Order: sequence, then C-alpha cells, then structure tokens
Amino acid sequence: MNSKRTNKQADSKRESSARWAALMRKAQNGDREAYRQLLNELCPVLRSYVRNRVSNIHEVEDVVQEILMGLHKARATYIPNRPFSSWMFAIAKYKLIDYERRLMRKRGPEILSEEVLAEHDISASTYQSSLENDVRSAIAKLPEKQRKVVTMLKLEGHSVKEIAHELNASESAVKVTAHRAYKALKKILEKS
Amino acid sequence: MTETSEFIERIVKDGEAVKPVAPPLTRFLFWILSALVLIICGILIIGPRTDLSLIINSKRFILETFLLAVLVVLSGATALSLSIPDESYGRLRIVLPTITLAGWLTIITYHLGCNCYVAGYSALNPGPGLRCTAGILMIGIIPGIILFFLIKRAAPVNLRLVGFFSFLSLLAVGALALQFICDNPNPAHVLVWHVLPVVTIAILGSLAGAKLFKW
Repeated sequence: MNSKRTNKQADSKRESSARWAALMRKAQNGDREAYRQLLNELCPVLRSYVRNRVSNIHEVEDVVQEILMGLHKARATYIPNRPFSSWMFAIAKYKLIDYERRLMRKRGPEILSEEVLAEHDISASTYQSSLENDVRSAIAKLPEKQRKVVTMLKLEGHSVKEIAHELNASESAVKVTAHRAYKALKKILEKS
Repeated sequence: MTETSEFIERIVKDGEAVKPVAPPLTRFLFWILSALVLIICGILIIGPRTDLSLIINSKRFILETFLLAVLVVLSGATALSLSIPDESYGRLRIVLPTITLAGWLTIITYHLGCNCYVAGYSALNPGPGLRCTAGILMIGIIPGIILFFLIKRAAPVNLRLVGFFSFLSLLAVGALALQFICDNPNPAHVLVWHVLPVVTIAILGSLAGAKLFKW
C-alpha cells in the first residue's frame, strides 16, 4: 500500500519535472505565456520548500521572490536534457543559504544554515522547534507590556503603527519598549 | 493580486528569449583546447628546459606530467560542471581532481624522502624559485580568464568549490607547462616553488570564489 503511494508520488514528481522542463524550454525561446505558467506552478512548490526551512514566516514570501529572481537570472543555464527539479532546487538552496548568511550577519547566529546543521548532525526542524520553544518561554518571562509588544511585532506580524494604535501609545514609545524587550530577551536567553 | 503574483508578472515582462549556455562538454572542449594552445605557446616563448631530451623518458617525469595533465582536465571539467546548477551531480567530480592533486604531492614528497637530491640552499633559492612561480601564474592567467568568463556566463551555486577548482585548473595549466620549462628536478625546489604555490593559491581561490562568482 505504502510502496504504491510512494511510486505514485515519484511518478507525479517526474511528470511535474518533465512538464516544467517543457515550459522552461518554451520560456527560453521567449514564450511569455509558458513562462508565466511555469513560475505560477513553481511558486507553491518553492513556498512549501522555504516554509520548511525559514523560521520567520513573514520572510517566506521574500525568500520565494529571491528564488524566483534567481531562476529568472539563471534561466539560460537550464540544459534541456537534465532534470528540471535538480536545477531548480540547486538554485533554491543557493538562494536560501545566501539569505541565511545575510540574516546571520544582520542578527548574529540566530539561524544556522543547512550545511552547519548537517555538520553537527542536527535536523533543521529539531533545531528550529527547540529554538522556537526557547524564544517563546523567554518571551513569557518578559514584563506584560514588553511581552505584548514583542508578540504583536514579531509573532503576529503587526506594524509599529498598528501596535501603537492598539496600545494607545506613540510609535516611538512602542519602538523603545521593543528595544528594551530585545535586550531583556537576550539576557534571558544567554542565562538559559 | 498578491505581492508574489505581481512579482511574477514583472519577471514575465522581462522574459525575453535567452540563448541557453552551451552544453558542459562543448564549453570544456573549448577551454581545454585554449589551455593546450597556451601551454605550447608558453613553452615556446620561455624556451624548453635544456635537459628535456634526457628527462623525457624518466619514470618520474612521465608520472608527474601525466598527473598534471589529468589534474588540468579534471579540475577544469569540475569547475565548469559546478557552474551549472544541478543537485543530481555526484561527489566524484570533486573527489577525482582532489585525489590527483594528492597524487602529485605524494610523488614529490616521496622523491624528497629518497635522498636522491641534495636539498640545500640552491634548491630553495628564491631567485629561480620565484621565476618558476611567476611562470606558473603567467601561463595560467589566460586560461584562467577564459574559464572565469565561461563560469560567469553560467550560474555557480557552490562558490567556494568553483573558486577552488577554477584556480586549481589554471595553476595546473601553468605547472604542466613548467614541467617542460624548469630544468631544476630537485624535489625540494618543485615542492616549494611549484606545488606549494598551486595549493596555496587554489585555497585562496576558494575564498575569492565567494566574491568573484557571486550572482
């Protein structure tokens, strides 16, 4: 039963890959309709690929767009007789690692790349879920006001303006509270 | 319409026809032929070693030259194949040139341990030594530039590896030509002024690759 399902999935993947390869060949020849269809079909696949690897759900679309741009820039490098999925996922992985490196430079080592995780034999999902648990329990220890601001800003994805309106405070006050909350979070996480 | 749908529309507008990059074999043959021409030109311009007719039948010379020729072929092919995004390629393309490089290093080290040559100041003299290193770089630079443009035209996804193997291949081209130019067979000289620069610059090339080949 299971092997039948696995075979079906593999067949369906092969079919998709072959269809995308045909669409890409047309796109390389300047067929914009085929190109639109290809990118629209790839979008949900890439979104699910990125969602499994990026912890901040608000950045998923940004990364998907970066990968789409990467595929666009590199479309001349697709060699028709090679498997399309291997080509696409190689670019997706490259863009994802690039995104993670930028993030690490910007925020410090919050997120580790697949390579680093592999070296330490930790799966990405295990690492992310343990990191999420740590951060969530640290947020729970914050004073109420700071907790509310961080939750709304980082977990629920509200803008500073919306939070200021919700809490009946100025935007700068929200920013100051958020800044203090980050400092407090850092201390809590360092201790733990 | 969502943000990503609008983004796709923008990309599609920009989606004019593109000429696919040439197949890896075609690009490789173009590169290897240009490298071969430059090796011959380099030997003719600088002048072949004086003892070439004596040494050409020696086992060590044949083995070293063979390994360097294999290194040129394998590292160039690896650099070019890595410049096309593809997850399905195996690790063999990375392992084989690395083994060949290790083989070259082993042969030189073996002869160094043989005590067949006097390892002294003359072998390590920076005058002729630096000339050899400069020769490797001078002969390798044009194949290096050709390789650089062939890789830039593609889309490498493992920048450090592409950097390492592209630098290794251009230096191996230079080192192969030096086999027919440098008349100092002392393994200490070969190790310090031929092998070490190749390995060191290839490692530095892996660092430079992250910047040079970023797209």
